[in-house]
Amino acid sequence: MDRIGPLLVVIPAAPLISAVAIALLAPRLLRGIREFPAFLTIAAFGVSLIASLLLLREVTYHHDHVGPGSPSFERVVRLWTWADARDAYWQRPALPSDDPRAESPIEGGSRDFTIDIALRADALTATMLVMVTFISTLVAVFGMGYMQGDRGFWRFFAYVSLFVFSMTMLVSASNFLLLFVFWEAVGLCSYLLIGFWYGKPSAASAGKKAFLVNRVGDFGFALGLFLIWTTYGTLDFHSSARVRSDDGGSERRILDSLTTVPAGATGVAWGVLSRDAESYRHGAIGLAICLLLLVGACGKSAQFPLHVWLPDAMEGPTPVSALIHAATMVTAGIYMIARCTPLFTASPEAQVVVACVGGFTALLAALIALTQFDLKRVLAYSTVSQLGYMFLALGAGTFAGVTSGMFHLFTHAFFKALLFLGSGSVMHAMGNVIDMRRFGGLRKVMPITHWTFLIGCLALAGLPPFAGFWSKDAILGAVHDRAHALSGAHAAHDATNLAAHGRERADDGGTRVVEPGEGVWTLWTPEQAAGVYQWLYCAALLTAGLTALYTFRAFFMTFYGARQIPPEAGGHAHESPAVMTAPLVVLAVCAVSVGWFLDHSYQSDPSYLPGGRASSGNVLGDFLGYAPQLAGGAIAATRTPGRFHFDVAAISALIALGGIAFAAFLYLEDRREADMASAFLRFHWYRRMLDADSIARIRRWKSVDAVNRWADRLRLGWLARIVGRGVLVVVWVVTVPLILTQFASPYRLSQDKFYFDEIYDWTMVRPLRWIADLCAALDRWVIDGTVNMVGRIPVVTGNLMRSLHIGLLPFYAVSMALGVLVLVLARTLWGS
Amino acid sequence: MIAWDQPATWAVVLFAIGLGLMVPNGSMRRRAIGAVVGLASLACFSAAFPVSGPWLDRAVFRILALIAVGSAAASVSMRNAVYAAVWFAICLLGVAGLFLYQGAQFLGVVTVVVYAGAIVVTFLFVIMLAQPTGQMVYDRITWGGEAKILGVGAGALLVAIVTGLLTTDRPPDDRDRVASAIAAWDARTAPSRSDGIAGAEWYLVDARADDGGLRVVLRNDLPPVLLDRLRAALPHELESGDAPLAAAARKQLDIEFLSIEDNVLHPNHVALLGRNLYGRHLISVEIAGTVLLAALVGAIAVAMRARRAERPYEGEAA
Amino acid sequence: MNERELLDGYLLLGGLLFAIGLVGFLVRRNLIVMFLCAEMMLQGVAVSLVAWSRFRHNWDGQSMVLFIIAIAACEAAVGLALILALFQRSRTLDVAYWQDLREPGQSRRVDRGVPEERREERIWPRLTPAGVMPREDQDKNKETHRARV
Repeated sequence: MDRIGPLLVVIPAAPLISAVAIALLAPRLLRGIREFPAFLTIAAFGVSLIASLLLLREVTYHHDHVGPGSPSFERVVRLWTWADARDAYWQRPALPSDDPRAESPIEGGSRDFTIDIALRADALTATMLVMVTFISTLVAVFGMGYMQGDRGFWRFFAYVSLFVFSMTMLVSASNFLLLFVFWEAVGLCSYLLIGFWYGKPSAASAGKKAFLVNRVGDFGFALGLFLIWTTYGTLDFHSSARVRSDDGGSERRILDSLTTVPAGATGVAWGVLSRDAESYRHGAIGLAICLLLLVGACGKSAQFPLHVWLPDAMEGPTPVSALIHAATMVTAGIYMIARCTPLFTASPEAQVVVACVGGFTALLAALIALTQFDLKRVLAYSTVSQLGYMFLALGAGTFAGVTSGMFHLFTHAFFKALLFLGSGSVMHAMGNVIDMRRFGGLRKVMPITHWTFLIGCLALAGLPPFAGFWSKDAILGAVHDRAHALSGAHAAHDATNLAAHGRERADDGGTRVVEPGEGVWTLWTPEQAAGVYQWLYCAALLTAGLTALYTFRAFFMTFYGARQIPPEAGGHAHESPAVMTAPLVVLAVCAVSVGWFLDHSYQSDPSYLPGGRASSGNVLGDFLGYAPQLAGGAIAATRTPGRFHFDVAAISALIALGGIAFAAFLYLEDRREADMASAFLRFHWYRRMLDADSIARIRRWKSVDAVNRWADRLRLGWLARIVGRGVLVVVWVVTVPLILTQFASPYRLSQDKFYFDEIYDWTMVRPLRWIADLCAALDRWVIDGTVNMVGRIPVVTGNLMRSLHIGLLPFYAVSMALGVLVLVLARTLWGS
Repeated sequence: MIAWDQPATWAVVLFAIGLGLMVPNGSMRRRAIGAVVGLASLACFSAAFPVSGPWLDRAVFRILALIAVGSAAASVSMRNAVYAAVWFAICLLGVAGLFLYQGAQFLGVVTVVVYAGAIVVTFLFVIMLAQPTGQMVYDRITWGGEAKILGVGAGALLVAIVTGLLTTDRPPDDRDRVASAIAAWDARTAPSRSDGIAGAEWYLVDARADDGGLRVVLRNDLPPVLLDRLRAALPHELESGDAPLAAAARKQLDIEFLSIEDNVLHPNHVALLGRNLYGRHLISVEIAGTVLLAALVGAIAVAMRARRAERPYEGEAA
Repeated sequence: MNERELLDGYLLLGGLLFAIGLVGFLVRRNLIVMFLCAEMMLQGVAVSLVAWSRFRHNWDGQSMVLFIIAIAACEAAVGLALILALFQRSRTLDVAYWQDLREPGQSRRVDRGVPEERREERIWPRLTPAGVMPREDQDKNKETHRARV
């Protein structure tokens, strides 16, 4: 047995032990040792990181030794069986359909509901594990400095450890239910950490908001899981064979891959994500599953329309923002969709939706980020925007798209963590002031932070050779290729596809050719989709420019211009301690190097990997290509030799440069230009037209003056005045609505985040509150009222009876006697 | 519905009127009229419930009944509590006589000794202690018309129910049929019999027919020779009356004597009552004894605590 | 006079005694007399029980009568003690006095139509004087005859 099993256990176990130990020991027992939680956490994360690297090595080793017949590698380690219900569900066999495109066959029969606590090791998981543990180790080191002296020091590290445990379990789970459990667990940790300073009302409400908005997404995700269960009959990712044990009872064994079914196996439980390409559902059910999963991913990864929680989540400690709300947790949605690639490939419409959501969110968030003054908020919107990029890449649906999305996830984690930690460093120095208008010119005060922040900004803006450039270019290239593949080259593409992987299927007399897995377009034609992708490509380019603009706007506002330090800093603003700058430097090195280190597509001709598959020219992409979800089936059919898109790269780099230059023009040195631009975008010029000054100015114009004098001379001044008044009325009529809609000016739209919070407030929160008030009133007046009325019956009856208690003994006696006599009489007359 | 031609109906009506007049609310004359009406109602009762048998028997029963009921009515209608208690004692004597007439000698004696001798005397003591001034205003009046009518009406309703139940013809049961058969046989053969016992149905205790046959229980002071004759004659006698009963009697006829323990008229009356009391009702006797003890203690406790807290009478009717 | 007639007669007698006792209990206001009437009702029941005992040849009826006597004795002891206590508290035996115990808010029943007491009706119990002829009361308003005895 290799070491994969123990490693997979060690990776989540170390943070879990750390979390439990801190929670149990730190508040009381080891209160004296202030640094105990931090050191324990860093040690645990270090162990996880080393184990992750070892796991990566193991996986790479196995990749090098896979047989030619099975280009994928996965290893599933079953720890124990959590739930085991035999014959939980009877799957109806799929109805025979006239149209083979509509439904794919699903085998019928009795299904066991078996949930194994099973961890998996494959390329995707290994990548995510390395990324998560690496970033979290650095953040823990940073947090040790940043959280110094906070009352919740131990709590912070307990939460962070719990989060890392949940996140590592999330990415290594091999089961949808387990994924969902830890999906919720990271949400919980996010909630706890956003509301870390729960005494602050804004933090508490931000935590609540994040939790509630995530519930919306998780609801969709849960529905998606139900649909997956009823459709595919299992929630496992992996396939497993059932082997009859010796004592007659049936026992399940997990197989690494199902290329060979061992002797004695009685059946095979096909995992959801490791089936044959033909056996995925197309049509409505497939689309529904994908869209529901997308809803879940949107909630977790803060995509439109559920993006509103992420900017508010910046109320948490900055290391948390770096770790959870920038680098790791928010990428869970990306990971999940990448993991579910086979499902999405079967429904190309869902991919279009994913791409649209991603592209739209990217553009929207970039526009909002342009005008924010809160440094962390700018970075938060930038995160939303970059996540949108990743969705866009995943939505491209090709192998290049998915791998470029994961590539961007990987690089983004580094430079976004860098930027957040840098902003944390700034915040730390500025006495927790984060409003960029209140500080400036920190270049000399915080040199290390400045340089590392600059590297992060360059990476985010996507300038070569920084990390963001490579991944962003890969995404743009993938979308570009997708659009082209779908439009003009559609037919040719089909032809090659068919030649390579096509399959004929007899169908009511005629012969129709259905490409395998390369989903079936039912709602739109590929040409329409191509148009959509074309637009998305343009939006992504525009977003690239905006990204550079807002990134450097923040950078210039913070580090350049007149030196300005808020009083909260206490007069001793200084560079942060080494424990905080060291992670910055490490991350900066990564942000510089990780892109060109991994991406080689620009320097070599397309090459081929062992097994005859085209190399994407990207180390990470090739590595991910061994993941079973990406190795086979429809997605592999879209695998093309990697090509560096020099044209796209040049355009995006130029646009980014333009953005930087524009930012420099607006914000470097003084901000007059910026003020002018913002005034213009506030429609100030329109308002200016109504000022008395401007009207007077108009009167002083020579031509107007001449007309006036001429009119006076002809004693037609009244006419001129009437005409002037008429013009004024017209201007008013046109302008008043515009003044009323002043808040709809582009600048205000951007600054007020396109009023999403207000829209949700009025469409969701308030109606719900009204309904809640109504329910409360119903409860109070109807239900409670009924209960109270029932309680009042004895009182009323008692009051009635009270009037009979007149205190006369003979009266009671005669009542009793008459009552008895009436009973006796009744018994006598009508008794049997 | 109401049979006005029956003396029982009139008896009830007159009873109600008489009692209503007799209770203390009115003049002496009204009460006298009430007493007369009450006597008339008793006469109607006796007419409604004729009894057979030797005249001395009947006369003794009538007199005892008259004593009991008449003195009870007098007790209720006396204004003075002392008189009421004394009349109640007389009523008790009448009841004791009725017990004796029934053969319950022990009860008769106990009633006289315990009730009339002890309880009524206690009453008199209390009356003397509590009511030194003879008749009070609350003894002269009742509750006004409604209360009196309600009370008398309740009593009359009770009597009406009892009377109605007793006078209603009910279908004869096995015992009645056998009794009439025996009476017929008795009447027909008494002159020719030498045993000299008339009214053999007096000795009939129970008769019950079922699938197994007819079972007749007789009191065991009947001469055994009569038993054999009866056994021979009864099926034949039943032929004329009731066919099913006769069939049962022909199938199997058990005529047996009552066991000594069950005979309430046995000469060893007190012994048998004591056996029943201390056998079947032993626990009840114990409990009754405990209750008596508790009552004794309680009465003393109440009487001793009542010494304090005296309040003047605030009666508004005075 | 056969068994059935005897039973009917006794049951009727028991019913009459019970009814008279009931009427007395409902109509009279003197606590002691009401108590006497309750005893009278017990007598009515006792008569019925004895009659049934005779008719059914069952000793239980007579045993019950013995228990009735026992309970009546208890009742007399406790009841009379209570009456005595009530009398000492209120100086009256009028049951109407105790309508003070009614529910609050109820109006008090006031006696109506108290008959005029006429002289000829005032018949005192005459106890044999010890040698001295009792004189007529000097004070007509004070109804205290015992003072003279």
